[in-house]
Amino acid sequence: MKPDRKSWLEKLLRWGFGLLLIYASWEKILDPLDFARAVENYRVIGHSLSIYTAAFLPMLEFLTGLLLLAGIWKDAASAVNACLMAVFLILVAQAATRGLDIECGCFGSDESQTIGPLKLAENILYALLSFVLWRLIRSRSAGWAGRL
Amino acid sequence: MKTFRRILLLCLFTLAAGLAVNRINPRGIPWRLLVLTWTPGLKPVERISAEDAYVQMMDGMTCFMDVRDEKAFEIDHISGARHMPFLLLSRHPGSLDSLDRDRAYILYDFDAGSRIPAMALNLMKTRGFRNVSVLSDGFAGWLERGFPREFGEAL
Repeated sequence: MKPDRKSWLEKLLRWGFGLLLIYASWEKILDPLDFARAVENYRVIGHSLSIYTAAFLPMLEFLTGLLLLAGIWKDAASAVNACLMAVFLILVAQAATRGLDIECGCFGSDESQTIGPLKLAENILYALLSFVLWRLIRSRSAGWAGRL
Repeated sequence: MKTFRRILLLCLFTLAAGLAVNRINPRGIPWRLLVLTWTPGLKPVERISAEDAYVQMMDGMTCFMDVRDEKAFEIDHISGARHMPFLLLSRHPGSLDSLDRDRAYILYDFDAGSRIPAMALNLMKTRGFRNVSVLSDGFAGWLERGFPREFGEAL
């Protein structure tokens, strides 16, 4: 891929994920206890850990989104973004496999999208794109731009 | 290495901002709840079965306290229960001062396994309440046995 196109793709993905993370975190920051309940519904972590997750995870999403949008600490922000998307994918996949009939909670309490094949496909797409973004930024900062 | 350092700093910012925002936000998670949640293994608490609690209720000896949020309480709750959401309790423990410390209180959440009533109990004990226990089967167990419930807002 040409360096120019890579640069545009990186910007597009960065802004896309930046906006997505900020949007996703907003409701959760405003109503963390509601988010704690959504986390607990996944039945992966107990009540205590879900409280901590609800207290800090939305803020991590928000700050990562801001960094991606602003283009500051891109390497760290894209790595955290990729980790977040991978974790979300694992959570949704395990819930779908176990047949849990729960709301996703991905965008706070307003969203009523339940766990299912569509949600799983969406999360696979996010995880793949976040990995591409991380590789793009990593390759540019490491100076081997032509390899991807 | 630089990236790793930045990730670490981002996590530290997240911790600081998370604590600050939850403190400012009226619907945020209060630090007391975080501290109580951190307590690895709460002290063993007094538990009471639904049957014994029902007997005490009939004798008029005890006051039920519902620690769930407003929405859950409005749907239904144990007849005569007082609404004391844990979020409010952990933010303003002083709200307990209006209660009679010599009375018996039974705290409950919906699920039997919930730690919230135990955390509320520990908070009440630190404020001088001696006769407090947790409904061991939760509100779910109460409903299963067909014991009385009522609907509507807190008085």
